Amino acid sequence: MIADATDPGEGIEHELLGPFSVYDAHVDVVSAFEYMFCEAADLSQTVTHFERFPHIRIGDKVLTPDFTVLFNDATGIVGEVASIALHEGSVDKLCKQLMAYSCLDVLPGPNGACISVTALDVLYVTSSETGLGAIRRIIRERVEDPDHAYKPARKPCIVQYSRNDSKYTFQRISPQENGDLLRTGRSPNIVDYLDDDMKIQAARFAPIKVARGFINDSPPPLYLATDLWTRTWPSMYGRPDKPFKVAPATTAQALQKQYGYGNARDVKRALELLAKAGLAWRNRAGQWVVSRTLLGRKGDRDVHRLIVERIIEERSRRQIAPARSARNADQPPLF
Amino acid sequence: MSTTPDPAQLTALDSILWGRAEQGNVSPLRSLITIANRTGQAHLTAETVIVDEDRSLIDLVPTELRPEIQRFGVGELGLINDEQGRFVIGMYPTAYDGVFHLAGSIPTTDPRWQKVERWIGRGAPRFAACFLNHADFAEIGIALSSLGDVEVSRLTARRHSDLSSLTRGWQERDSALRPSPIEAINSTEREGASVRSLTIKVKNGMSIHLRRLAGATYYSGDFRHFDEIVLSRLAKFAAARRELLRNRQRRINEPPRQPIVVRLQTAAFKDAEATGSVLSTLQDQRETAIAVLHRNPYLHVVVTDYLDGSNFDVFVTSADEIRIFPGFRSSIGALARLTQQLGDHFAAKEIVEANVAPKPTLAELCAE
Repeated sequence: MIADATDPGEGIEHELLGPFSVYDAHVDVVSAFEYMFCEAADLSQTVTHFERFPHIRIGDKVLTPDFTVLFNDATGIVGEVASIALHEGSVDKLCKQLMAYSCLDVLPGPNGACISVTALDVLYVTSSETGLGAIRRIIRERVEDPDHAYKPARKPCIVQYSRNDSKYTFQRISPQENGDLLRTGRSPNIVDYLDDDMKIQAARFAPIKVARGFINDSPPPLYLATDLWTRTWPSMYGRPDKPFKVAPATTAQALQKQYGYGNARDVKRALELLAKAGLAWRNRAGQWVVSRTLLGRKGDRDVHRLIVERIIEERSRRQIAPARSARNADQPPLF
Repeated sequence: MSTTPDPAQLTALDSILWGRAEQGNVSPLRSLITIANRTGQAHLTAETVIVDEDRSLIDLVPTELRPEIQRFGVGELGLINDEQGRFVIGMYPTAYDGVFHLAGSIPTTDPRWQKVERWIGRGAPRFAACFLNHADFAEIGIALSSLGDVEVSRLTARRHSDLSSLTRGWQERDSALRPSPIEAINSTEREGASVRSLTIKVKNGMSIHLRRLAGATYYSGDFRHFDEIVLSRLAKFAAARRELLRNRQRRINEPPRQPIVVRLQTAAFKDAEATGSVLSTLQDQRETAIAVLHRNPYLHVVVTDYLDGSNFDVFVTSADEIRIFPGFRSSIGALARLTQQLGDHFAAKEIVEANVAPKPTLAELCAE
C-alpha cells in the first residue's frame, strides 16, 4: 500500500526507489560472499556447500536466512543481510531471527538435504550507515542487557559494508564488543580479513549477480517488476507486439528456472504495482494482462523510474477522475 | 513483373548489371568492375553486414520503395525505385555464412546510399553492421602496403578524450610520400584518437576508401586487389564477429558464459559522469529499454532490445571496458547492434570475449 505524503509524488518515489536500491545492494553483498566462498581458490577448498536460497525446516517453521555456508570441518555460517529501521520493533524482530539461526544444528548441504554441524556462527551484514547503530542496539542494548530476552550462546558477528570505487568493503567493527567468528583450524578464515578491510571488486561478483539476480528475501515489487519488464518477460515472449496474458505461477516457474528464486505471490505483487502504473490490468476473466509499451522512447528511459513516474501520474489522474469505468477485456488503458 | 528501368536514371554500371540480371545473367561481384571499366565508371561502395539467418533485400528495403529483386544463388540484386533516382543494390554472399557485402555503384555521399546505411541500422536485429577491431582495421592497412607505395590522402578519426571528430588531409607531393596507412593510424593513436576511415591511394593506380564500420569504396585500380585484400578481409572479420556473438544466450542450469567485452583504447570511465555516457549512448539506440540497477560507484544496467526481446546485463566495473552478459534471449543481431553502438561511440579498441581470469586466493582478492 502506498502511503500518503505531503508531496505525494515525492513520497511515492521515496517509498519505491529506496527499497529498490537497498535490495540491489543486498544482491551485491550476497553475491560478493558467494564469490568469496565459492570462487576464491583457497577459501573454496574449505567449503562443502554455499546455499544462496536456504530453506531450513525446523519443526513447523521454515527459516530463510540470506545465505548459509557449510564448511568441511562441520562448522558453518548463517548469514543475514538487512537494514534495521529506527523503531525498536525492527531490531527485536531481527534479533528473534538471529536467535533462531544461532540455535540451528543443521545447514543445507550440496544435494539439498540438511547436514549436521558441530558449531556455527551467525553473521549479520548491514550498511555502514547502520553498522555502529547495530552494535549498540543489538549487542549493547540487547545481548549485554541482562533484562533482555535475546541471549544467544555466541554473539552474532556484525559486519558493515560500504561501497566505494568499484568495490565493496566489509569490516567487523567494534571488535571488543562485537561477536567473533569461530577460529577453528580452517585456513583461510574470513574473520582474519574482516578485522581489517575485506574488499571485493564488483567485477569479481558481477557474473554471480547476473546468474542469481535475487536474494532469499522477497524483492520489492518495483525491483521484481523491473526484472520482469526488462529480462524475464522479454526472454519468455520475445518481441512485444501486443499485450499478453500472464499467469503469476508460470512467471514464477520461469524465475525459478532462470535464477533459482521466484514465487507467484511476489509476481502478483509486482503485477499489482504495474497495474498502478497502468502497465498491467485484469481482464474480465480475472487474468493478468501486461502491456508491452516501450517505456520512454526519448531521453531518460530508466524503466523503474518511468514506472514510478507513471504511478504518480496515474494517481493524480485518478484523484481528478476517480470513477473510471471497468476496463474492457485485453485492451490496455487509454493513456 | 519486372520493368526495364530508364537508363538515364541509373549509373552505367547499374544499367548493365540490371539488364543482365533480367536476362538471368547476374555477374559476381568481381566481374562488376570489368563491366564498369568498360563503361568508364569504376566506383563501387560496399558495406559488410552480418545477418542472423537467411535474409533477403526484401527484409532490408522499405516496402514502399517496391524493390524488384533478382536472385542468384544466395545473393540478390535489387532495383530500388527511389524518388531521387533508381539504383541497383547487390547483396553479395561471401565465403562465410551469414556475412554479405551490400554493394552499389552510388557513392557514400549520395543521399540514396545514406538511406542504405539507415536501412542497415533499421534492419536490426536481422541485419547488423560490424565495427571492426582496431587490429583488424590495421591489418587491412598493412596488407595494402604490400602493393607498394601506399599513401593516405585523407583520414577521419575520433578523439578519446571528448569523442570529438578529427579530419586530416595530405596533399600529394613530389618530394615525399604521404603517410602509409599504418603510419597514419599510429600517428593518430599517438594523438589520442582512433581512426574511423582512410582514403588510400596506391601508386599502381588503385584508390579506395576504407571504413572502420566495416565498409569500403572502390574508386579505381585493379579490382582484384580490392576484392582480395579489402573485401575478403572485411568478410573474414565480420564472420569472426558473427561467430563471437552467436549462441551467447544463457541456458537453464548453466552458468553464464564469459561476457563480451567492449574494450576502450583509454581508461575513460573514471567517474559517474563518464559512466553516464554509457547510459546516454544506450538511450540513443532506438527500440531499447534500459533499467539502471546500480549507478555508482560501478554501473549495472539491464538493456532490453524491443525488436526481438533480447536482453543483456551491461556492467562498467573498470575504467577501460564495458562488459555485456547476454540474458536468456540473445540474438546475433541484437548483440551486434549493442556492441556496434557502444564500440562505435567510444571508438573501442576491440570487441572480444572476456578472458577467463585465474581464481584469486582470498588474500589476493582482498588486496585488489
